[in-house]
Amino acid sequence: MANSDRARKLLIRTALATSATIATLIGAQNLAMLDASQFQSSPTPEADGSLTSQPDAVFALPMLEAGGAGTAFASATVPTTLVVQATPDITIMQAVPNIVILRHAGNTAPRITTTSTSNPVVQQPAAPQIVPPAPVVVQQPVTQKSKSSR
Amino acid sequence: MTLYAMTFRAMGCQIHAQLEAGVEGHAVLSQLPAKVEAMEARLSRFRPDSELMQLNKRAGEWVKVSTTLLEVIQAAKHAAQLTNGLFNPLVLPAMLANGYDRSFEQIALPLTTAHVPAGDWQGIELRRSAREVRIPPSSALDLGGIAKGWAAEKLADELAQTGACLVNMGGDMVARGAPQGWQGWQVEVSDPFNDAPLVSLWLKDTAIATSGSDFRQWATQAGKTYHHIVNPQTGCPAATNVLMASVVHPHAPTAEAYAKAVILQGAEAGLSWLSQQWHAEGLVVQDDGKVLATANFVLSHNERLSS
Repeated sequence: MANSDRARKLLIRTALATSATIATLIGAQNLAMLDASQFQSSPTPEADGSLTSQPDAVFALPMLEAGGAGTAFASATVPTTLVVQATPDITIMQAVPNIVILRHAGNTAPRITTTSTSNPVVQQPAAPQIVPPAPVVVQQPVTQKSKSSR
Repeated sequence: MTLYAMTFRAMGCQIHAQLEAGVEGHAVLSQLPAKVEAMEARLSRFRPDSELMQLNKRAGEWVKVSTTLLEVIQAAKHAAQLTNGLFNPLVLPAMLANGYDRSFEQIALPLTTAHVPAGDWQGIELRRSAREVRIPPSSALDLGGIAKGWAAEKLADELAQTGACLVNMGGDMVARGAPQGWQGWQVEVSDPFNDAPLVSLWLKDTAIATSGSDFRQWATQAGKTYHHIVNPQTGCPAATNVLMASVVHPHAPTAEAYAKAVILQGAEAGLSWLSQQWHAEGLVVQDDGKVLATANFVLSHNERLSS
């Protein structure tokens, strides 16, 4: 008696497991067919020239929001856009491959120029320093400026 | 360990050096002005009696030169190769024709409208073992920026035998090691528009060179503004949208040559080209104020840019 009950229960469990597996397989197949039909109904890049992707051109023409210097960049077409806040006025973004923009045009303070003009004052060459310069001890490294040689 | 610093003027620019060392650091650093003076005596084009000018007078002949001059000419020729002639050390006749015939502080009356293209840099011949050089007839070398880069590297290598150091020759810098407790030597690239810091970098075991048309300018009699970056192919001051270019590279003379090559090519073309060069990264400021950098420059220095 007990053996018969056990056999019946085992049969029922096996049937349930088998039917669940079959249902899962059928569901997966239906989903796959649905995806395939949607894919076929949408235009491909080759079929529609306007959708042909031009990654280089997109990179070369970053979409900028109006507003001029210091404005944040926006680009929906460049998923790899690198945007880093550098200083309050500097935003970094990918412009073309391997190049980033750190600052917009025009976002500058008045320029300092040193221009030799006509009506010059001819200077004598600098005399050698009579007292040789001597090293001094500093408490911490002195920040240096890199700029055009002067 | 003590941090020693020293500033003096030579080679037409302000020179600054820092050295972290024991008590011997003071004596080591004190020797620097004499060493720079010895280099200038050989390499200056503004001293008629310099070894360089003696070589220029004998263009077309084989001339025995010092190790110093040989090394700098070698570095200059190498830089010309790397830049496919955009950097050309035979640009001196063009510079003279444009009025840059004396040290910048003394430029008075620019001369002429005639332009003289630079000579063929491939015509510079070296016999290394004999320490002999021959430059093409009627040509003349100007080692200006390359000489500064070479000198900064040479001095830094010497100082590095004593301790971590930074040598700054008029904005071209070489760092060896880092001071204790610091990740490098702090360097700011200045904005040519207002001299304010544009970006700040940590320099360690590498070099940075900055070149530009923003500073050494002069006016011609015709009212044109000239600058000292001459296009070797035309002999004219470079027509470029780059006001200033900074290049970071392990080799200082190469950094200097690359900076000039970027200026000559223009901002985007120049940076695209630079990003393809080995271990090179850089930044430019355009004449309209726009600032661009190579992606590897931003990646390397992002921490400092963001701060």
